[in-house]
Amino acid sequence: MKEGKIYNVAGPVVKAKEMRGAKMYDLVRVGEEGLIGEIIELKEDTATIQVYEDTTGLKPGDKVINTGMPLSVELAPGLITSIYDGIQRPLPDIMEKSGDFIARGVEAEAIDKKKKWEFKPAVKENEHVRAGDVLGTVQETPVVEHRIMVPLDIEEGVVKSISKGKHTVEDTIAVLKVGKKEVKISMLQRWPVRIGRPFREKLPPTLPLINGQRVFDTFFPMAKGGTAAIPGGFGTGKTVSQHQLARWSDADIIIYIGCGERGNEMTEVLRDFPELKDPRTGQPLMNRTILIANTSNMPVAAREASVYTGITLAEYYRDMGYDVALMADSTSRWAEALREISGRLEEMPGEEGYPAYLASRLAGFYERAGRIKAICSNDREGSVSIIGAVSPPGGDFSEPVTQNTLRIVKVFWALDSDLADRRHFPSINWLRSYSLYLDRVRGWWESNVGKDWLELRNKAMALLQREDELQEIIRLVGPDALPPSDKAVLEGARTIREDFLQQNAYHEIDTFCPAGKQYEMLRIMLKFYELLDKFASSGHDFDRTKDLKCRAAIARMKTVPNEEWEKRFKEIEKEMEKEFKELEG
Amino acid sequence: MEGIVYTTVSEVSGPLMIVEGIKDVGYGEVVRITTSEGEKRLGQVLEVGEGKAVIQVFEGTRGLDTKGTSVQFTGKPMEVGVTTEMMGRIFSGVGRPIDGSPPPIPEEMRDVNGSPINPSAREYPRDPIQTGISTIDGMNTLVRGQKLPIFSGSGLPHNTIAAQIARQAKVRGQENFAVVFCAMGITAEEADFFMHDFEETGAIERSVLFLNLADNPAIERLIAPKMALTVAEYFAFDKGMHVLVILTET
Repeated sequence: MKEGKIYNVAGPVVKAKEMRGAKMYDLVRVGEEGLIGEIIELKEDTATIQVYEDTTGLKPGDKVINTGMPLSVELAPGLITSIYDGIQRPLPDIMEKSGDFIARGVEAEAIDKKKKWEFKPAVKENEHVRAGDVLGTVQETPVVEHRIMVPLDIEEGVVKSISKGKHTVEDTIAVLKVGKKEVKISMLQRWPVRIGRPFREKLPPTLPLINGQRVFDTFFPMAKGGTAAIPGGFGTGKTVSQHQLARWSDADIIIYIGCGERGNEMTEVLRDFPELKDPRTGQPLMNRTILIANTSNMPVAAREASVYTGITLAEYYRDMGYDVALMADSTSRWAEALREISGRLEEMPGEEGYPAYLASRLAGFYERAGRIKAICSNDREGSVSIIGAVSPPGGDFSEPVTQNTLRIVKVFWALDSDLADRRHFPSINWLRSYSLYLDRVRGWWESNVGKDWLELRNKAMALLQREDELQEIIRLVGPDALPPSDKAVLEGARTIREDFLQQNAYHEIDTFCPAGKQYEMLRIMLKFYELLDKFASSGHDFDRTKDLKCRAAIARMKTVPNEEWEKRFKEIEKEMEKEFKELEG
Repeated sequence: MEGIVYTTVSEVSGPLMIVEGIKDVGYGEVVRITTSEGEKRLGQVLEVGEGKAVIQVFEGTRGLDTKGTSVQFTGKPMEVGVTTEMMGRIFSGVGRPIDGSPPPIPEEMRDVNGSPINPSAREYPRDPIQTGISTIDGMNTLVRGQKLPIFSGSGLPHNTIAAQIARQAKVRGQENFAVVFCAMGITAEEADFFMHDFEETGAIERSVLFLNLADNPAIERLIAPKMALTVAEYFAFDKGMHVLVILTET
């Protein structure tokens, strides 16, 4: 290990000399306390280091030890259910060591090295394996099976021995014969966080990430391996929306990065997630979750690293063949961390003081999402989907972080405080949100749910847009002056808004709406509108439709239990048709 | 026995001062400065390079020179002495008593920069503090462990409200309640108002006041809230009290 000396300290940016031989992004330990830092600039024999902890008390002349390794995460069974800080130190362990406050230079093992895991081999001796092939599995939590893969730096080899039974993560579980050498393999692997894990092939995002929230699934669908942004102003129900996504989305693994969040908000997540039940398995949600917390008062440099730590863990589970959903809350705080460090480095500021490379860093992060074929000898597929919260100051969407994010992400869920004030939840503004995956996931919906899914969705959207236009006319002339066909539009749109888009996260049944039920609900509502429209345009008195009984039945569709909706919906539809016939007389 | 005294000030500019030829100085250290006239001031190391340190002077650079000014590095970050005897006292923004009594004898010295609370050590805030102001208690409840901003402008009576909250606030059914009150950049009149208000109503008994006046150097304002919060953390986490910190300004 090479040793250098500090010659300048300014906040989290430390300069050291006698560092020749150090590489960019190498991890260093700074000062007597061994603070963790990373090399971000090299000039002759001097290195500029960003330190992930408070640098108070560092002196010129203090030693800097170069570990020669880039900032890496440890990958092994035990990741799931963990709560980490930005550089993969488990917060509960830190608490045990340094109390309620985070002291500097605390060392904590990312993975419990003493715990023994039951390893089940998946290959036999003398079997031929390639990089990424599953050697065996460990039941990490009751719902997650951890697959131990051949490290990616071993191209191919022959299994010489493999040992079943209880092992710690550092024990040798297999010996591979690679060429003439023998390589010992343990369950513990390392991967540098700033380098995306490679894959064989990127697949198009054609599968929807179903999360049972009607406004997301039907109106603005997210794809597995896709990217979405959710700008959350104050009091818009962002937290509830995120919890719903975490709970109900059909991803196998959830990684939640609290990046620059307020401590108390993070506590809410830390407290709620272990208590939330995963509805599909009945197990605590935590059994498929990893939390990463860097609150607003924790060191800013580690905030910059936290999203990379998160995405690397996500990619690791993706390579095992899982669908991973990563939530970053909030990417604005992350961008602000970039800005702060960039300022310390005296780099040329770009728009609003953000570094000029803001756009490429954001893109680099979001581009690590995707549905892929993993490197291995069979066809293992996995995906990482990123849902990034953006908190534009003052709700101004024209600021650089929001703008650059929107250039990259394909789905935009615009939370709206006006809707929240009107108690419309989830308060997603349907006129401002968009999803560019509609055509991509269309195939899935059409072959699994209904042939005219996209058509229905677009009709509903058109209806809502027409309603918005009419609202302006109503403001001028009042609703009574509208022709009957427009009254039908208002009624149809109201039904969709109140009975389809609104969804109660706290209602036992309504909290999750299966895809089929969503489709049927929308179909019946649009049929209701068509019947209304037909009735109105054939010269009947529109006011007579006010007493229709089917209105109440449609409003209650969302609370029809998931086992009986198919039968009930058919009845509702029939009654509705009958009622209209009688009305027309 | 505290460090070498340097007289090698090479530059004074705005609130900053550069000292050369130094050795063994750490980032964030507190600096004792003595002017040519013998006046004592405090400063903090803002950047440190080899043989050179940039110092931010807390009490203004007026009267500093590059000849007679001497500088002593304490080897410690900005600290505040904490003790239960601080209760009922009034301090300046950098922690000097301004109520005419001698400084309390500290039980312990604390780094004003504090350390971040480990998120997994936090409890979720869910118990209220009663302020006796119905629009706060009823509509925008102040929760123990949370923050509540008051947005104001010139001519609006936020200082009266701040004093009212300090006076009336209590945690129902709990005796061990304290207020740490910090005012930044207030006028002498307002400072007078606060001192009198706290003393007259008896609220001073369970309060610690930090008052930074408008004509104090701006840079002290950076320290004042940190002082207040460090003292509050001491009362809350070491002495098991419920502490309400009120930060206000003109």
